Amino acid sequence: MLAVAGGVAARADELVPSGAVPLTRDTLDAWRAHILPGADELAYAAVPWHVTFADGLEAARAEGRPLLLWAMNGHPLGCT
Amino acid sequence: MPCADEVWRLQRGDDPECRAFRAMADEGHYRGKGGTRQGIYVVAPTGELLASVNALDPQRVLATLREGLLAWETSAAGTTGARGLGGAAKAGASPGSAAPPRISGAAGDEGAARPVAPTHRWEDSYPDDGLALVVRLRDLGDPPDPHAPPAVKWNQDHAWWSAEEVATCVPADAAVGDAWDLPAVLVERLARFHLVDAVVGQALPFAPEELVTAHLRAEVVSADDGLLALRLQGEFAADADGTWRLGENDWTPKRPWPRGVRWELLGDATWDRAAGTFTELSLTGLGAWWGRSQFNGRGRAAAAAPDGVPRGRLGVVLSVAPDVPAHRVAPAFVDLYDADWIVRPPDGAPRPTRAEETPGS
Repeated sequence: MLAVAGGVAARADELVPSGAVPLTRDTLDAWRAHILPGADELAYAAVPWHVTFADGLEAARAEGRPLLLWAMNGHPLGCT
Repeated sequence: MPCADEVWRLQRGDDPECRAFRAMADEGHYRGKGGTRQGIYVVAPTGELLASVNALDPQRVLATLREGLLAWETSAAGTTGARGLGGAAKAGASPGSAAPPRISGAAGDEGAARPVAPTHRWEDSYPDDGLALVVRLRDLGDPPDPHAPPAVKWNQDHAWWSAEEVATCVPADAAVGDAWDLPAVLVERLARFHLVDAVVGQALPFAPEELVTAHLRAEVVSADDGLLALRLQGEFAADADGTWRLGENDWTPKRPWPRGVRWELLGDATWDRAAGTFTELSLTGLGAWWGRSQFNGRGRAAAAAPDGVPRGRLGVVLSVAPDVPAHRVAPAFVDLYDADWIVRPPDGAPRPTRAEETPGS
């Protein structure tokens, strides 16, 4: 462990959830369901996004329709 | 036509796709050149801007979409009133002008075609025959309780391994009862690039020497018809004192960001002996984070921490990504992957790092 980070890191060790509901085979499904996004949180994923500007523009041209572009630091469909 | 893309590359790259984006976005809500171009854009098929905004307020976004559609419909109908937005203005119209703006690009309009094909996309390295995971992270409450309403903040990323890398994960003669540590190529990539505090925003990766523990053990619990059922259990820990150990690249921060994580993970996987790959994999983890980095959204937590060092808990679920376009998006840190099968962009002139180019951070 890096010495300069040691003191703070030691306190981080105490934060790992291991109290009332630790991660075990019996609690695994409950934790998984708790962490995964729900249907309402994934509503955006139902949109048939093109995943690059070039692909979206090409499709817009092919259909003669305007493009809605969502551009963020980090891909909006990945880590943003 | 809905489209989503990563703006960092688009606003600084030097290929037809990036140049087309900047020509459009430089007319938008931020105006001028340089700086971030994040936002929502309505774009004519020619690539010309119709409307744009960068806002979290859904009503403002909705108003912008309507504005863009109105500009499009007005121009398509050959009437005035496209309001001098970038695309219409470029097409020769001004508000109230007698000459209607003409935004070309309807189907069959050959004059509209302009090359915007990229010369390099990280997505071109997608491991078709390998393993792609979707990584979902979420903040946990205090105390953490899986039966309580989940915290609002969550995020996702993708993690990639080539077929050759995956093939090293399970011994060819593995039998029921066998147990082993999964190889470093799997474990270290997870630990350095994916088990990070990216719940609220993009984090920084860890250097190899910042890993305290990186350990994922597999055990065969059953074998049937060429499929092995595996149980997985792992522990990960990393601490960074803030010294940047990953060289000069897009992620190089302007200042030290001490930070760390702790993880406990459990999961299951199915291994296909004949294919030499995982057909199913699910890994769930509970963890803790301390410290922060420039873009990972923990500034308020830092300000509230008595010693200035924020801490919290988080969870992660990793599972095999569906093979659909939305899940072929490249991992955030793909450019730092220690993998020769990742196709790199051609070398260009030195460009500002994310930390240097993003204001107000």
